[in-house]
Amino acid sequence: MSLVSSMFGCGVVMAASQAMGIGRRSDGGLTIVCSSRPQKKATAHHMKTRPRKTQAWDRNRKPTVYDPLPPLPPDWTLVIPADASSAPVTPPPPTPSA
Amino acid sequence: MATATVSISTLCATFGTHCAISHDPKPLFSQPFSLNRFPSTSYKLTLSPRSPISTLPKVSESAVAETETGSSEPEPDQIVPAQPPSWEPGLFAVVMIGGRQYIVHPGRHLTVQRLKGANVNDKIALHKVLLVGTDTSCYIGKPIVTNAVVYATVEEQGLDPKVIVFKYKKKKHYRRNIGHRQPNTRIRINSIMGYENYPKVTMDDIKSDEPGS
Repeated sequence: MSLVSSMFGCGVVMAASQAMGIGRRSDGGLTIVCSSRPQKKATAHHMKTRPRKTQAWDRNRKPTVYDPLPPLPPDWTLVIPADASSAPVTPPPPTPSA
Repeated sequence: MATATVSISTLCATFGTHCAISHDPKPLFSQPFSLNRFPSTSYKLTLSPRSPISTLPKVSESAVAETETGSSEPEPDQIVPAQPPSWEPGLFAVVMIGGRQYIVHPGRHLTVQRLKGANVNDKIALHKVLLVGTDTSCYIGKPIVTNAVVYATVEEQGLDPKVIVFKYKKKKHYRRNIGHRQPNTRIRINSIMGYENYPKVTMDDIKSDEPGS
């Protein structure tokens, strides 16, 4: 009889502990659920939603790199001055090389 | 093939006219004037025996024409004959002056920014030729058409219309009135030269490159 009563006592203790455990778990879940999707406002919202490069193909994109241009000639050069052309009848025009 | 034959016939015709013109010394003098003045009727004027009256700047232009013919004679090309006196039909060029790009045609005048150091009646050469085009072909520069030069004459050094800058703030005793006239230069395009040896692009090349045709 003492053995039976002791076994019964153990059963009671187990049941109580289980009930208490279930309650704690539910509390933790609710807390987590509530804090998982807060409604951020203004700056916090902007910080969360701004565009960011997350993909490899996007992070590797950079401005186009072109070959450097070769040295360009001047825009214009003087070939025959007005006084030279007016003074002689047929002035010999020089041939400028680009 | 029909277009090719037509182009060949036109080239032969132009070459024939060029030979005829080169044989007679008098038309050489008259060519640049008529070409510069009336490009469309230049052939008629050259064919006619008339000799237009010339002045000093035009004489210099004829001198330029003489040198052009002299330079072209030792290098005759059967396929594409050099025709300094008469330009290819539809000839134009894209040049860069003062950071801006202009489409220029021989014989037309153009207003650009003030070219410092150039006086009226000066002959100038524009070197940044980005593209040269004709009716049948196109010379695309990378970035410029090497050895291509556009010759022009300075016609006038002028000013743009006045721009008024007016500033006013009420009740603050602030009022400004500034006038500004931007200086410009009017030039007349004489000729486009030196592009013949550059690799060209034609409609045939484009058609052959197109897929599915």
